[in-house]
Amino acid sequence: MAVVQLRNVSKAFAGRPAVADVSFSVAEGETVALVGESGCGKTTTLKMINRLIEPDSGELMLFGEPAEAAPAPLLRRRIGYVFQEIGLFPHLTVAENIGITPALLGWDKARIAARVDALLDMVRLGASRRGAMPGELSGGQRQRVAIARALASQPSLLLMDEAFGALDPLTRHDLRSDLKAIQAEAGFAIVLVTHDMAEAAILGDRILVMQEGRVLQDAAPAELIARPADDYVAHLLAAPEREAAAFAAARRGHG
Amino acid sequence: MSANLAEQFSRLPDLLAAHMLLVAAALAAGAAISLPLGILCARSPRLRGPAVGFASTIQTVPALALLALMVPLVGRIGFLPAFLALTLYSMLPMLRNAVVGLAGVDGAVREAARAVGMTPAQSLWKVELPLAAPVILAGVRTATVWVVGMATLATPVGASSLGNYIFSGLQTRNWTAVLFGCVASALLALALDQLLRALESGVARRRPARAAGAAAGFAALILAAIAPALLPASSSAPAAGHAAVASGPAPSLAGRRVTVGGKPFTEQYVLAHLIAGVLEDAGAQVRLREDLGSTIAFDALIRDEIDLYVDYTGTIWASVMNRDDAAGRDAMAVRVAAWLLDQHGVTDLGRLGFENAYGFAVTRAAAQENSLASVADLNRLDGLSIGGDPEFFGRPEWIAARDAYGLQATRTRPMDSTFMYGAVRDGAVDAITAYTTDGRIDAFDLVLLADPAGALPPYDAILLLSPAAGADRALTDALRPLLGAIPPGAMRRANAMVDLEGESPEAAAAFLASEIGISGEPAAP
Ligand SMILES: Nc1ncnc2c1ncn2[C@@H]1O[C@H](COP(=O)(O)OP(=O)(O)OP(=O)(O)O)[C@@H](O)[C@H]1O
Ligand SMILES: [Mg+2]
Repeated sequence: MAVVQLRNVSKAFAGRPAVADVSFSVAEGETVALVGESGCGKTTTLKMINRLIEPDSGELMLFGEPAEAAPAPLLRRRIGYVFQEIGLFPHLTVAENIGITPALLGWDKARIAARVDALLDMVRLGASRRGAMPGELSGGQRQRVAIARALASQPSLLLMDEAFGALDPLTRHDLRSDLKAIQAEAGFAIVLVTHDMAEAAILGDRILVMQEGRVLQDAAPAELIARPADDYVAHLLAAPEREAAAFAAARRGHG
Repeated sequence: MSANLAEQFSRLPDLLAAHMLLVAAALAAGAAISLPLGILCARSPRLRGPAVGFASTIQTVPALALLALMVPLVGRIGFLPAFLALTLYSMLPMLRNAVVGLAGVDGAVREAARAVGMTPAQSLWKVELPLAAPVILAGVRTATVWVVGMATLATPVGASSLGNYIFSGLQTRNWTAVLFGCVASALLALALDQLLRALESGVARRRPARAAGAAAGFAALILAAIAPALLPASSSAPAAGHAAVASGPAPSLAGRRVTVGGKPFTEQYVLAHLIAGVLEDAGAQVRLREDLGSTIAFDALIRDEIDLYVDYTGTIWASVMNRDDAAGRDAMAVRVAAWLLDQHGVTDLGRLGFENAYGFAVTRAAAQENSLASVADLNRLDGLSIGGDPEFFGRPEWIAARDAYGLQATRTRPMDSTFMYGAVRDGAVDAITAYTTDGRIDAFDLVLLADPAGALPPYDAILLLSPAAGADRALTDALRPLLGAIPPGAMRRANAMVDLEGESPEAAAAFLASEIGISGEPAAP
């Protein structure tokens, strides 16, 4: 069963198409990476999946049912979402932020507390930060709280919009592997948006390349690298190699 | 502590309680309307313009006018019109801050609330309201300070408040009372403001204990102040006690509750206390409703909200009957009495014996220098200016006098009647429209100018009873000894005691009672 299925979904803002005729599906336990230039419609696509934005046309199936079948708030409690802008509640502590969806689902306090501790550990924030307010954290620490919050209610689907953007390379690497490990165990599906082609290739079972609201190519990373649909896709996918080359050149220059 | 100050302190519990009750009720009602309305406005921006526009418009109406307008609107005096006006007045800061506070919540945070699975109501209660709370509370604070101040203006529409100190103090030149009222209301505003500030900072810094403490303090302060108003009145019992020990026949008005009204000037305070004394001697429990605006007192009477008060034939003739023709003193008295009974069922029990008319007064020195004897002679003065109470210049008799004596070019200077005698003495104005029973005419050596054209109507003091009170034989019998009993000289001396010697209206009333032989002592058989 597909966890998410979009069929010919379109969305325009003030007459300007942001997403045009997009179709794809995400299977249980699968990870799909959305890549593409800034403004190509990645965030809009992601927000349509948990109905923060309603599509103008097309069809959206969630967990095998039409998305409109259940009230949106109930659906969203089964879907973790990490915002590009992080979006923590500034008036709640770290622990309260992480525990919010479980609280809405009516979990008891002890279960929420245990869950919060496990997640803080996973995102490498000491339990001492439980009572901190978001304003007292660094940008990277806030992003980790946002990731923990999205995972808190053991969702069936995780939507991540540049969730690792503000992290240092070492933490990013650790968090990615941890995420893969929990996913292997819990079996949730992931749709993630990233500008980092290496990240898309490492995490994604499939990569969707978008341009001006349309899907250019939808394929496994190896397939995409071997047979890019056009020059644009080839150029985009070569980005990590160009960076590595530039980095090597810089090292030689200093060495 | 001076006797005067002690007297002011003794009035404090009742007036503070009344003031707080008014403030708390108006704030509660204002918040109950504004906060949900603010939430609605934040949700549907189309409502925002009209709602905030309405509240802003209310705010531009002068506070005193808003209070006065409520009286004809609700058709009664007292707590209700004051409460409604204050409620409307409190709305703007609370509504505006609720709208601004909710609109100021970061859109990303609101979207996050939806994304974690909150319903719109959960988003409002768990996210938007807590984040907007400091701004909303700041609006409540502003409203509180405004309403505490504005409640002092509720006195003229018949609602007791700390304003009673200010209004009656102003009229009786009791500056201690005026200052006392100002300080009490300022301290009250400061105390409430500080408690709300603590609540606000507790909320802003997310210190629930501090916020709860401040909220509890706020509630406790309001409750403590209101308590005397909510407990059954035990202070109005002296008359009953007096009656119980009396050995003679049971007093005719035993147990009867009588409300005596009065307008806000010295003579009215003295007469109200005089009448109260007479009625208490007859066993009644008397409640005074002083400081009623001029036409407000009459409106209260015809609705049986007060039982009786003293008015003047010329006032009824011009302001109530809307007549602008002249009439002789006796003819006017007869026609006023007939009209009142016929039109409103009001009983005009009769004349008290003195007239408190308007009269043009100048200093003796000015009169001699310019040989002023009649009102017409005022035209000899260059750039003539006349001071008078604001009511006078709105009355037909001013038009009549102006036209009869050619005073069209006169500069009129409306001012509070308390200040006009000093103004003419000190030369700030050339003449004033004095009250002929005012003690300051003699004391400041003023002379009254003759009115040969009869432009100024007679102003016999008359005792008016509401339709219900007029039908009460025991009550009218008890009051009858006052009729024709007060000569002008005695009234003028009683007024002078208050205005010039700083005596209380009660003391002046006691003097007047002994002067005219109806002293507090039960009459000997
Ligand atoms: N709420 C909105 N109102 C109007 N236009 C919008 C809105 N949200 C997005 N758009 C427009 O839709 C297009 C796609 O936006 P979207 O946020 O999906 O891009 P993105 O691929 O996520 O870009 P980035 O990588 O910079 O985050 C852009 O042109 C954007 O300006
Ligand atoms: Mg985006």
